[in-house]
Amino acid sequence: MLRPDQPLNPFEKQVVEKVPYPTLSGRITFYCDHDRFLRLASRVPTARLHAGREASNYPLNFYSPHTRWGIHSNWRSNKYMMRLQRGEPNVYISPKLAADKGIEDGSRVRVFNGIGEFFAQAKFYPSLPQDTLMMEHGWEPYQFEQQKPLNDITATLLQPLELVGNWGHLKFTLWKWNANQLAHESSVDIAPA
Amino acid sequence: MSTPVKRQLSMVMDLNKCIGCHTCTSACKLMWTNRNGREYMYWNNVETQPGEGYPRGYAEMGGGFDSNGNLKIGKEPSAEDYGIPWDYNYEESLMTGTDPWMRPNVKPTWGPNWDEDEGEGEYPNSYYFYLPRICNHCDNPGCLAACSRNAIYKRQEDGIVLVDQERCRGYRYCVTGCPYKKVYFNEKISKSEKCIFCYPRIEKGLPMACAKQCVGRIRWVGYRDDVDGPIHLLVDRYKVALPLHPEWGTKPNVFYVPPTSPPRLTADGAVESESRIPIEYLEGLFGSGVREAFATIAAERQKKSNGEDSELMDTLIGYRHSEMFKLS
Repeated sequence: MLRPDQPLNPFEKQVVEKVPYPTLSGRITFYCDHDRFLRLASRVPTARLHAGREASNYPLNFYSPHTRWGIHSNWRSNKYMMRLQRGEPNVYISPKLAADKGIEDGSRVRVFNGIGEFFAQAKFYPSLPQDTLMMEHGWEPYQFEQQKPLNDITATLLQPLELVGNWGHLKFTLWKWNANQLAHESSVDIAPA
Repeated sequence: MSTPVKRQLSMVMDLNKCIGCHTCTSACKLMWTNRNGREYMYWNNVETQPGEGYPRGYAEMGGGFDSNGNLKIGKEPSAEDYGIPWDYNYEESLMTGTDPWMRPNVKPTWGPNWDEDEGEGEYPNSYYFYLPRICNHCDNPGCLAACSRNAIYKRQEDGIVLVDQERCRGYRYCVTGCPYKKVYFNEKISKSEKCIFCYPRIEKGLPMACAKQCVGRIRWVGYRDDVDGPIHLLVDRYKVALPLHPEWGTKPNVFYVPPTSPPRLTADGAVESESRIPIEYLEGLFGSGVREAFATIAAERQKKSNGEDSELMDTLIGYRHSEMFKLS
């Protein structure tokens, strides 16, 4: 329900219009006591943190928030947007971690694990902990050296919970569920390149 | 020494609401500076502070006035200090396929937002905030005082500072005289150019493009003498909006609500009393009014928490965007 000159606030549909969520309980559901969920220790949303040895036995977490420079990959190669960044894909790194790894701000780095690698520019970001790299998602593959995108280091295992109660989250509903792959189960290492 | 005008159009920006999205920068860029020798200019820029700013290191370049009111001639930024705009091999990488991937035509080494999000301190006590900057349309403009051609003038009806393009001979004294480095030299036409407060829009009753497009609703526009307007309320009545670097002596007409910040954390995650952004640092930017402004905001915010009315908080929230602009 959009109105001129007024923002659409989150949850208006539920709180103002009183339309329940299309879940089994009609509410936002965090707790699920289905047998399979209990067996896989997922009665509340639980991170697996594992996508196989090749992808997950590396020292650094890698996460990929939304960018402010586009909507997903839209406008990511726009020169006016790019001139307000570093001009090429960049990966954020704590200056302390960078010092340990011999990486300088603005230098070329290789981010890798057992399943793949990509190259990017290092950008110092003191607000990151030392065990984590950050890179905004949505960079287009064609913007990367050798067209190796950041997805090349991302793996995910099939989530058996998605099969519970007829494929989909407990029950399949069109547009209400999709098999999004998780970036957070892979871990990486970084080196000067 | 101020230049008296009949009325002064002014702007307030609330740094607590700025999310650093650069929509203002983009609006300004596409409206005024994407062509004809202005490509490198950002009449509106958003910089991360603490940081180098735009152009790089401008705060150390001088200009403005000393305590006796004498103009100080500063340094002219280099092209690298602004950042030389780079281009892309769009055609070769995306159309003809003759280049294997898309990249800048030169390896960028500095740009107008190069040190974005760096700030100071270490995780988890790192801190930074965004500072959008335009021409301050000062009461006592350093650029105007520096111009030997009398090409820079302040409009009587609204105090907008403009460069007369007919009189300008491109001597660039204005560039060095402005301590905010908000006058730019256009090499293509050998004249200086700057933020014009979107006067063609103002004359049609529209707010500046940067203010109109601001998704964070951080900007209020109005006349300083309008006692019912937002500028008077924020700057003069509640005194929560302060000029940037008042010690530079130009008497800016753009004001900022200084950024509050969460408390510092100890190594084991306990909350300390000190705020993450040091108050002394903010006083270095916005002058001695910072503590009083923070105290006022805290008191008014508490009123709102108690369910009471607060004219100040209602104004700062900006429920209706159109009410943030009072152009008559």
